[in-house]
Amino acid sequence: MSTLRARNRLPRKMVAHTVLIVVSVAFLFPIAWMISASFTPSDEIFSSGIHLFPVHPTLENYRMAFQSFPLLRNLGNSILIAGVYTIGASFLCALAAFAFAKFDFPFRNALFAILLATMMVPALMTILPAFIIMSDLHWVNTYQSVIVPFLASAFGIFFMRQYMLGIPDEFIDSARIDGASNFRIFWTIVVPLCRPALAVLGIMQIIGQWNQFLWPLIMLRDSSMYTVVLAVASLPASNFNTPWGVVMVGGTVAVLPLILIFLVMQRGIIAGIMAGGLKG
Amino acid sequence: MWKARSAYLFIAPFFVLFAIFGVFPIGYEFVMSLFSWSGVGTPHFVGLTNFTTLFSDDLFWQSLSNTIILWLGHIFILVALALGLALLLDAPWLRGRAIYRAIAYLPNTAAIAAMALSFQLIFDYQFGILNNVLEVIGIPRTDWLGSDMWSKPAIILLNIWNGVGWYMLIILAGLQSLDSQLFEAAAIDGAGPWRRFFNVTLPGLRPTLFFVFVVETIGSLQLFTEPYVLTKGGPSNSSLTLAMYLYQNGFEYFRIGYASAMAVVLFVLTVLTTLILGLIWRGNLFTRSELSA
Amino acid sequence: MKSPKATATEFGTGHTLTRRAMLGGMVAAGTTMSFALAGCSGDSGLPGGNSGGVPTQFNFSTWGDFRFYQDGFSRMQNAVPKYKPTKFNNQQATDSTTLAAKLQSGFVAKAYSTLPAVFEVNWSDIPHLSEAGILTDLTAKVAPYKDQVSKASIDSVSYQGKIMACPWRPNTILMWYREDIWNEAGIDAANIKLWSDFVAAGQKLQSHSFADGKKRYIIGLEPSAAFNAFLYTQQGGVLFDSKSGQLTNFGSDPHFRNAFDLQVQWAKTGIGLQIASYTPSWFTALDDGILSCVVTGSWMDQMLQQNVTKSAGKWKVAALPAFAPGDTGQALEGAAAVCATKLPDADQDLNWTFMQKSFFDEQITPSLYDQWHLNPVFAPAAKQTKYHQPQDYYGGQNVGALDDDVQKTAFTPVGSPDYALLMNTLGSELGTASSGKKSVDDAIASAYAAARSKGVGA
Repeated sequence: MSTLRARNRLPRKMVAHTVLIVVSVAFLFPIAWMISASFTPSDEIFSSGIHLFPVHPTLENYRMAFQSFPLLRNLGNSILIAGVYTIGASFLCALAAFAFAKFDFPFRNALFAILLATMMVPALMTILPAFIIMSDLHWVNTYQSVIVPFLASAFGIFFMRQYMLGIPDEFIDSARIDGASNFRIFWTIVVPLCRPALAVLGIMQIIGQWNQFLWPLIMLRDSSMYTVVLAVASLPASNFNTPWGVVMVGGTVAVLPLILIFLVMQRGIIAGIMAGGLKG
Repeated sequence: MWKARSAYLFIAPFFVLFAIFGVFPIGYEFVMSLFSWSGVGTPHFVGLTNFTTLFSDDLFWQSLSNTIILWLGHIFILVALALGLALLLDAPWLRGRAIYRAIAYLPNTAAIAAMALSFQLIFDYQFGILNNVLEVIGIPRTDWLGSDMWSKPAIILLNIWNGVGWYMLIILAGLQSLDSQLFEAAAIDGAGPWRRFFNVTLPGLRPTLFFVFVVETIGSLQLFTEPYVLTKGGPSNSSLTLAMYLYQNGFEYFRIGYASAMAVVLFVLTVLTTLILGLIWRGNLFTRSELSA
Repeated sequence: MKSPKATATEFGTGHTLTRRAMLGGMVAAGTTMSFALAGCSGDSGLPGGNSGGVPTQFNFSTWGDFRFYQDGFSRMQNAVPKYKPTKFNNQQATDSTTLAAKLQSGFVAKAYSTLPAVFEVNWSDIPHLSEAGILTDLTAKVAPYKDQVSKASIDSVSYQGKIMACPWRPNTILMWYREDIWNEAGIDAANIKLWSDFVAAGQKLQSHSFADGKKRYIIGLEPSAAFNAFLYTQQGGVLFDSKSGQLTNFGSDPHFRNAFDLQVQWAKTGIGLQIASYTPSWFTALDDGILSCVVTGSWMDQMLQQNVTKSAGKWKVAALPAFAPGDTGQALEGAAAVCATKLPDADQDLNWTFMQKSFFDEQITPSLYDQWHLNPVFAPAAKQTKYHQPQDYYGGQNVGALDDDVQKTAFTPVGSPDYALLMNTLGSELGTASSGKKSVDDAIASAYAAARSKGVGA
């Protein structure tokens, strides 16, 4: 009986794996190629067609890139901005989500509807007025200018609320009986319970903030304040001076850290998704 | 439920921030759309002239149609792919699911602005790997970035490559939360895998898919980065989106009043589309159970 | 634990006003705060990090290679004993339009402390920024150097008769071609005196069967049709009136029709290769000679020598063909330019010293220019850069000497705040005419009408 099943499964497994492998190659190739190109001498990148591995690998591109541009500083900026943002935004989102999920207060539905509506505001619409505000606060070219506006993350609140709806009220009720304040309940009970969802949200926030392009473009003025994604976009812009190898280095430096973080954290993320069964 | 005072405090940071960085800019743009301003000096009041010019501007209509074509052209493929991948990666009989999931999500972590350079070379007519692979399969080489027919597919490809992993994870989470008892009951009733899919899985995924659809639609209507970095709106404005045209008018031609009028139109369009989607999909936008759970 | 009922009565109907007030208050507070913030006008500090009139920081902006300017900065430091800014603050932008946008938004918000004191800009941005009152008038400062710089270069950075920027790198339009490819096809560059000769040569190139069997082209055509204004300019044509800034009726100008017609011809006769410039394909096509000629600015020198290395020695440069026999006009597409920002409390003397030391000072040596492949506008005979010597890359030709010669008869286009918008409109109509959707006359008329309706040059 079991061998029959196993044999029936084989073609299905093979098809599935084939499809998945093709798809995986499609996903991985652009990134892998960019990393490989960063080790390829500039004239070899496009003169010899496309190989995955360079014929004459070199570190020259890296030397040039780090020498000509403050890439390490830019990396540091990205890490700082993304890190501070994620901590702050996660906290605020969880807090607001807790209120929307577990409290009943006047205008709650209307406010939640407004919250969802805020996702529809186009970023391009807000950027010039926001810049005016930033300059009045003397925040132009500072880290705050690219962190604070995004702290109001409607998506984050929505996401956490969905998760918190699945937390049984009993946990919270028993803490209320013990006389805990709302904030205490939030901090000591709800947050630990939400850890998987917070991990997923945190990753999404880090990625989103790291990859911001338009906002830092307008708000940040010194190349030493640029995030690494913005710095990379500045590399090829002057067509007069574009060694493609250096451009590929820029791309690699901008993309690789997030990939590494993700690979390290992916267990947590997967666990977070699996634990979505809590909702049942 | 509990005392409302702390609830208001908890949600206050969001609404205060939104008032500053959301409400004020929207109001500013609505007001500015009635003026003509080059950024310095004094704005001139022109009333609704910006809007009348806008609606007789061929390029505006082209950017609008480009945006809509790009939206519809990619969203169904994206959702279908994400759903398919999620189903595959939910199957318990598949080994190595965790690895595939990680790989599928990886493109979403890469900044489009940075990957665009790599993709410019991938889409290259002569040397691009995409054309090389297509040629081996038997499909003729296409000028992805250089012809006005293929610039939109190129953007759609980049968009899907970047986004499908994230939506796959969302749908996967939705799948995981479905009650397995429903499936067992259906199997006992004799329903095969396809019937189980249509009668149990899809209905169960309805809120998730709705969420995916709405979020991606909102993002699609405001599409800027992909056309900006990959094709710069070309060739011949074939990939010029509404958001890009807005940017051009505001930051390249310095017609801030005109750009504000466009921003107003974009905002109204987004709101209307979302409301209509909600009406179509769910009967009304938010069911009672959704809000007061 | 309070019962739900008890909670409800806390916010019973008796307190309706309170509820509404809270909600209204929250939104109002936020909105008022932001309006108040936006309303407060800026004295956002002194530019350049001044403290008591002595700048500690020099703000500069470019989208190119800033190392050249760092050199100018250290020379400035040596030359100005009174104050030595200790930090050179480079605000690198992604491109010229972004730079202009950042500048503009800084002035919109009166964020003076974030604006660069000196910045590099595209010549076509100068009218717009001048009209916005952002640039310092440099007429008096540049005047002593005027006779050492071509008139066209000075004109390109002038606005309504005033010199608003330092020109430092001329964009002389030249014809760069592969001598070996043309010889093989039986084309003699010396015989290409008119644009009609050029088109005929292109057809000859097209029909010739080369030894390696490949097809070759005489011009590259961008995927997005772009109107090359220099073809109009070299005939002395003018898009914007230099005094009033108004859009001239180019639609009724036969010179404009020549220029427009020629570009449509390039597209329709098939002598052009559809390819995007500055891409790997483009460089390879140049190296292989598939694209055997490029008509563009003097920056092509750097492009070729850095990226098109296999065909070194086979390239030559020539002046532009003319439209009619006897026409000697050449074209300068403006010069790269550096301006000083007209900020309150700005130290204009310091700014000028920096610019002087970077572009005009005797102390800047040819080797410095050579290092970054620059051909300066100001190049006195005594200081010869590599560009001004016979180069192996060009088979021994002295490109710089040709460039200097060409500049003597060059016209520059006059810009306007709406220049970018006009170019976009012209490009669109050129594309329409090239694909046969409209006749040339209709396309030109459409372009003019569209420009007027959008208020260009009004």
